[in-house]
Amino acid sequence: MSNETETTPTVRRREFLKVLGATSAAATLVGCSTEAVEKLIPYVVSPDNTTPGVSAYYATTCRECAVGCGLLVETRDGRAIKAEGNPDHPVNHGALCARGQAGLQGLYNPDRFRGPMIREGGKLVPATWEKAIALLTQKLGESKGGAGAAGAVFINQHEQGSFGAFLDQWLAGYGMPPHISYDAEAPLGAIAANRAAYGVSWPKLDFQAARLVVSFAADFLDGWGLAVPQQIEFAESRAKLEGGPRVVYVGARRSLTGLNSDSWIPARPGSLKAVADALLAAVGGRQTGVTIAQAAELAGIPAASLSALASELKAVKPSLLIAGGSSEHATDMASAVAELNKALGNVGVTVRPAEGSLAYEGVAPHSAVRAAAEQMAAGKVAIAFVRGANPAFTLPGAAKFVDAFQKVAFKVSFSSYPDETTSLCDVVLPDHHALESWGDAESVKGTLSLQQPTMDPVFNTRSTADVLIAIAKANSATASRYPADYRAWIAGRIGGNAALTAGLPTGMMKGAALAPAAQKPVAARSGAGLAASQGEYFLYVYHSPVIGDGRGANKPWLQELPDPVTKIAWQTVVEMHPETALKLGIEEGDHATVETKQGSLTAPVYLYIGIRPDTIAIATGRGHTSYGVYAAGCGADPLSLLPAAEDARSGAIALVSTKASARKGAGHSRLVTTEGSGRQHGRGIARAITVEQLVAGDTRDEHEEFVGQAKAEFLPGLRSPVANDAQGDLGDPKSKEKGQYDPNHWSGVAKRRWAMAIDLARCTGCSACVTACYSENNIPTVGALWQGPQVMPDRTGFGANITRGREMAWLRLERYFEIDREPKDVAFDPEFETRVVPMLCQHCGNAPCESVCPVYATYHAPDGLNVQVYNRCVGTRYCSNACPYKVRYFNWFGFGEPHRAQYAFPEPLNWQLNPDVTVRGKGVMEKCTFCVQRIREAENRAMLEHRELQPDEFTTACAQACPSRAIVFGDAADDKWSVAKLANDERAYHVFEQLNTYTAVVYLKKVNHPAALAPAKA
Amino acid sequence: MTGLRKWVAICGIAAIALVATLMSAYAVPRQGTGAPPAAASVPAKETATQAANREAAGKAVPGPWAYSGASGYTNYLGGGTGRSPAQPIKFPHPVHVNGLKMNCMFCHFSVNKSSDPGMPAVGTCMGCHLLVAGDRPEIQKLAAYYTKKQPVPWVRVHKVPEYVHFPHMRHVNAGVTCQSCHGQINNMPQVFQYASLNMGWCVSCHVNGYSPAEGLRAAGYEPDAATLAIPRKKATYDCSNCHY
Repeated sequence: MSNETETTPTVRRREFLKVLGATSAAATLVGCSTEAVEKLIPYVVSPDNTTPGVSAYYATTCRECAVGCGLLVETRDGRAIKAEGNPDHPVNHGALCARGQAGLQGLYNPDRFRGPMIREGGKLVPATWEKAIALLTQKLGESKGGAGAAGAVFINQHEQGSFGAFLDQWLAGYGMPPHISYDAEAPLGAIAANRAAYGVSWPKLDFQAARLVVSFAADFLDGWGLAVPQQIEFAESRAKLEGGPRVVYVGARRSLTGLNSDSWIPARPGSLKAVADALLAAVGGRQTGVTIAQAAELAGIPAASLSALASELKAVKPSLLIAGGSSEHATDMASAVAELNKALGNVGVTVRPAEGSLAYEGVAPHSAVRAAAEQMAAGKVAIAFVRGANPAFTLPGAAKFVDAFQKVAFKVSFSSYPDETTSLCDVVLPDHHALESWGDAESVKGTLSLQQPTMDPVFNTRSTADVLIAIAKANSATASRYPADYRAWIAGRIGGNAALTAGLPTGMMKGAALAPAAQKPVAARSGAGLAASQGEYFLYVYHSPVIGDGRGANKPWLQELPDPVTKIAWQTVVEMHPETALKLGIEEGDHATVETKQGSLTAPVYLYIGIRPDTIAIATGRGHTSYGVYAAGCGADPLSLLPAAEDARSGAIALVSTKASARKGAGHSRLVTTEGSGRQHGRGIARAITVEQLVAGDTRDEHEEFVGQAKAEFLPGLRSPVANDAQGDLGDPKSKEKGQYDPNHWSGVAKRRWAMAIDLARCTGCSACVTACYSENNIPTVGALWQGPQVMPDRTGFGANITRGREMAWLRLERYFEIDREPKDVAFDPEFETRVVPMLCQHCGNAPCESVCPVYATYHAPDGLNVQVYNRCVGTRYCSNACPYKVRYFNWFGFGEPHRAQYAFPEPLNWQLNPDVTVRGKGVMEKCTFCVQRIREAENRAMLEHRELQPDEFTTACAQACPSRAIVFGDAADDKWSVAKLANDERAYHVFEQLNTYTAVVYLKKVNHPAALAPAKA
Repeated sequence: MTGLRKWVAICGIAAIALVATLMSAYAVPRQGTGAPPAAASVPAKETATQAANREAAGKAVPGPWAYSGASGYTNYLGGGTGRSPAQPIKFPHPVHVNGLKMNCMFCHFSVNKSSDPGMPAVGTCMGCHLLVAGDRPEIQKLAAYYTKKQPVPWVRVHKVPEYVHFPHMRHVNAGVTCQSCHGQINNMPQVFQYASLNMGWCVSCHVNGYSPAEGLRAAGYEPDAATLAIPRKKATYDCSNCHY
């Protein structure tokens, strides 16, 4: 706040700027000699039903994982600019995860093939479609009917829908065996157990009906299984507060699911089967012969915690037990858990086979791909195809896929990206991206989710189905079997063009996808066994919740999205417990070398208190050698450490199948982390109460002594008497002229108070909102090589800007451990609570940033927004210093300027940029705007339709995407909006209320469900 | 601050401002290559188009040629007020608007429903010109674009910076005439930038209000008594209305 009085003869800041303005205007004019010519390009023929500058939305189906969520893709003037969930879709009800959002960066990926490629002289060189198709047709003709055809291999990325059946039909025309529907992330163990126990691949898991949820290493909030539907269900169940379930996680590493659990039973890797058996016997099910004591001994946990769980299972009904994990006994373990569910009477109550999902119907065992590789190595495969999948990267190195694949005489890729497998191929016929293609999916039985192109192809690619049809049609023997193209094929299958056209507006219709032939079982190959392998530590390899098995690694949004648990981006880290690190003489960031019989890996260490001291964990997904500018050379690949061990019953790759030795390696790296400290230091940012308190009506928590004057009260417009300086003369309470800030102003702007409520009982920390924000608001990613090392010679590697705190995420997920000392000093104790809190600009009514800006670039709008005016900003960064929430981000480099070296949107990534939001230049401060462009768009739409804004008519990008429905946005000054009610909830609090910042973001306290019987500590 | 220093500073600033004003006055005409043409002499044989253009040129009023204040952006683009780049096809607004009495929204079809006014597709032009005036050289240029399935690369005249979001539909639906901001386009054989488009120009109307009577006069009509009675219509002037 300004101290100036009338007697101090200073130049007022505005006058100072006027002087400065005249000077710089003179300079501008002198420098202005070149004439920038801009063109206005009209359509040649105007497309129907489109208005320039107004978005059109296409309903389609997401293909970023097997689940098949419904999408509404926003397109503007012919380009897809935003992917959102389809609110009417039965799978995701409008929500979408980070990976689904980032599908757009697959569409506009700068490393996509521009057209077909043919290997000439050992290199892939561009070719024409005619030439590429002729080459493939020739090879197909040569192999047809012979031994070559019978031995052919087609590895296809698993996706729900009719394409698999279509493909098998086509392959049969050439005498080739059916394709392998491969998904490295598919939880095959659970699927096999589900089939055995319930007769379906994936039953409905009803979290809302359950009062106790026990996860056996099933990371259902980490992308395992059906990512978005599970999260919606979970959040809905926890939102029931006292009626919600208590959650217990059993497993060696606390994943995001583990962190969202109320208790953690840190069972040793490989012991979960015994734990499940012991529990089965203890709750009165089949007598398995395993006692609680034996299981606890094997799992390395106190027997008391297991017996407490057993008695809880007996007492609390209904419960829901979910089995996951990836080991050599995954199916056995999942079967034991299924038996537990049956014994506890959960089947038909919380586990409902009849309402299951078909997402994993038809998925092949991983062993099928490994077996195909063995055939290739033996020289029995003359022709191999790969589409979408990348087995050269996603299979463990010990499967020796690369060597085997190279022995195939003719290798065809339909992939659009130069991934490890495609780089080995002889001809590349790049497929359309899913957002450019036709297709269908039936994830929910009876509902056919349609997939349609949302825009014209970005590059000279062709739909694989269309290529296959074209090849078949060129042959007179098969020509009559196919219509003109795949769209016509789908239309013909579902009842003609009219039926397809009728279904496309909603993206759905009643119907079924064509079921592919069952994938043939392949005998699994077992490894040496976890217990028998060499090494002091269990090696816990898991699929990254963000970039998965590696398919997301070339999407900068996903690379830059900090892992929800470790908060690390752009980097592979070795996770170990501080106790372990102390023993090995390792400090955080020091390199550790992890060695198994298969290989070794050196990576920086991240100290994680949520992992057993006898276990070290590494996430998959990074360590690509090709695949593009964002992926190649970034991080390390833990699959190189694994033996070729498979789950005996399902054929799944066993990710936790070996022990490893670990030692301090040479070197140290700064962690590419967005985390300052892992704990709150008593600041009361993320608050929680227990369910008992809630029932008793006592919502106070340990931070309640800091009481500000704000509470949950929202007054429109000029609500804060101390914000004079921020609002200039208009804010002076003695001034008669309040202009637009007067609630009685004719415009009525000041009647509104845009605000947000975030329910921490719902929020899981999945970070989908973060990617949605990047997508909506043109936020640059800053971790690519050309953005860091090139401008900071003392820095190396990906994410160098982030190590200096220069990330630009307007919305970040803060994750706090409730521990009393720094994580590095913590001894192993499974009893710690974790809280997550989405932190964004709080749009303070009395904002510290506003009063310090010398140029009024940030100020308070009459409708309650804290506005950042980019063209006024001169980059003093005073506001960022003043902000207690650290939510202002500065453009240190020209991330948004195409002519700068650090440009964040290399062609064609810039096609995705939202035309409604300014792309910020160098030297400008930016921050969350509460999606002001959506507010203005809604206001404009209401004006065009001659009506007032309707309550909850629109929402921000983060709230739209959130699978937990934790974020609610609206006008807090109008009781008809949902947010106005939530702002007065008994759990509502403001962060740093004691600073009297009068924030517009209200958090609702998390609700914990502590155990009724506290487990005795070891 | 002593008195002497104060006066030195004031004189210095005044000198800078003077230089800036002089330079802008020289710079603008130099860049306005095809500035509003003066009424040309009547050629011996004249087509209807040429006649309409000649008449219209006499009516066209160049906008207020003034120093454009702190917003140097239009100058960066090369011109600001009065800028009139040559177009790939000499499209005559006067012939279509004055001569044929076509409504602006016939071609600029989304101006009342979108931020984007809508540039007519080449197909829209050819809707008439398949039949009309196919023998004229400029129409033949248009037909060539159409046959090659290429858009006409019009040179942009009116442009606000990327950090400004200007919703056409809000202005048009509020009754603001096109000519209020674009000048008498109907009288411009070659379009030139009429208004400065800088922020002061925008805000002056938002704060003081738009007069429907003046808008009508700008469009070339004489307002009736009812229009004259309408008070000025004000608009909000919050930064985040346009800057986001």
